[in-house]
Amino acid sequence: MDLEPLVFQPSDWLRGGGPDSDVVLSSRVRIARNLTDLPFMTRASSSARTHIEGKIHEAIGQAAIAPATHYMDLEETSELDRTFLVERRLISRELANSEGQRSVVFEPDESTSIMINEEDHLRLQVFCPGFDIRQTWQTASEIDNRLEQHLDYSFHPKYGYLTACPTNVGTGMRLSIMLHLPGLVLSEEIGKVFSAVTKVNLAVRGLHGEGTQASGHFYQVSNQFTLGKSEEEVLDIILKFVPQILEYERRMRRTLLDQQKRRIENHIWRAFGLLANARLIGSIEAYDLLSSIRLGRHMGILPELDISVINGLFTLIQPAHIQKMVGCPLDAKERDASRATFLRKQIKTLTC
Amino acid sequence: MNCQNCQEEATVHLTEIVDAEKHERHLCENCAKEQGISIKHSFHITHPNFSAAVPGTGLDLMTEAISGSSGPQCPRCSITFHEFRTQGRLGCPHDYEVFERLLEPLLEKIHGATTHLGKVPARKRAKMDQAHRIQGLRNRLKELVERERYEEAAHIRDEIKSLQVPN
Repeated sequence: MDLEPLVFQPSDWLRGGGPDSDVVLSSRVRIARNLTDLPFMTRASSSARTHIEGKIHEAIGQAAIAPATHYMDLEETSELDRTFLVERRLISRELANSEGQRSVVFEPDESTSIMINEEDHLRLQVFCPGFDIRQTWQTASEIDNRLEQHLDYSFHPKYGYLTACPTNVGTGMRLSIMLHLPGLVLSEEIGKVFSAVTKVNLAVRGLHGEGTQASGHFYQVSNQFTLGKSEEEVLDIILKFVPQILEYERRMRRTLLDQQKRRIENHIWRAFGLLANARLIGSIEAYDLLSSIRLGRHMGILPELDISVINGLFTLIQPAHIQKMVGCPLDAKERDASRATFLRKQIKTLTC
Repeated sequence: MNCQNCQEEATVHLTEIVDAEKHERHLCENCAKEQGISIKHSFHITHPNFSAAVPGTGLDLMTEAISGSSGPQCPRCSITFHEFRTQGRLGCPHDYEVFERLLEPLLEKIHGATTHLGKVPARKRAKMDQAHRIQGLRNRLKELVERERYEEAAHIRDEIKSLQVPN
């Protein structure tokens, strides 16, 4: 598949919008499944990998999960393009960096992707903008049901859906909500959220999932357990707890504006100034600066900015996107220069 | 710090131990690549021994479960419990039964539970319903035998037999 048309176009769900979009960037449901009587990936021979891929592809076709889907054989895809797909969250970093026959199938609007031969044979992901986790789960579950008519999944009467890692066994379902929490970070209240989240058995991760650091004040909240609780029960926990974080974040934003207006305005306008003028910007710095102007937009300090463009920039400024925009491989310094040039142009467009 | 090869900023710092001697190398990204050193931009904490440091994950049980031996082995995929402990990933679905005794406490610690309560694939649902029905009839059969009601017990036994006939 030709990825070039996507380079300047973040998918709709990456542009934000949807319920509670002032704090929630997106919701994601991930479902892990494995075919019965076949080894997990750690023990799968090359012929087993090909066999698994063939079976899943056939099922995707038969289940007609979407009017059209894109397919990419990742073994045949360049490292740059694989990183590009990671940046758009269509595949995991693990799938990008692994070896052997593996692929991804995704819908043209990038709201659904199916990773094949990742840690598990099949990993279905469904995304939506904002906080709409129930609808996202329903969509994912329907696709799962349709695929299941054509695939014999490995299922144990006691342990549920069997997965390569015991941390996913049972429902195989992970719900993740991407939260933008600059108010809680700037008011130094974020630690309280972490400890409260852990108490209700939810996990907090950085922007790019497991093992990554939080950057740009983005945090992913997700369920820790997949066994012993039904999908509905897990949904209820998220639906009960996440709105409390959202209210806490909004309260802190209001408090900052009431009590430290000059400090916050200075922080946001400085970020704006750097984005509009810098000649070298690394991706982590760009995340932090974009995070600040996103906050400024929602606080009414920069009311004229188009929020969907700002949200999209979090994807477009990543290394593979920058290199594909320029059309050649770049080292870190060249990327920083190209990123700064791109951001200056974007900020100029935003304020025209 | 500058790169040992050129004057660029060193961003790759390597410490190697060769013959008990420590050698440090400081290189820029380009020189590191030229010398065939692959740079991983991020790493994931997926190794069980790392996870053991995270309270409440329960993966620490894996390091405790067996020490000094490779433990039981799956006859299908040939993975040993020791290998699973090292990789953090099982080899095949059958491992859940082969390692059940060792996995149960681990599942309890990870999830606080050991029984699935969510979705069941449609094609397994009928089978599970049948399994529940057979179990119910077995309980009834036991009860009837204990009460010496053999005629009724024989009917139940026949019903169980008919349900166990493969389709």
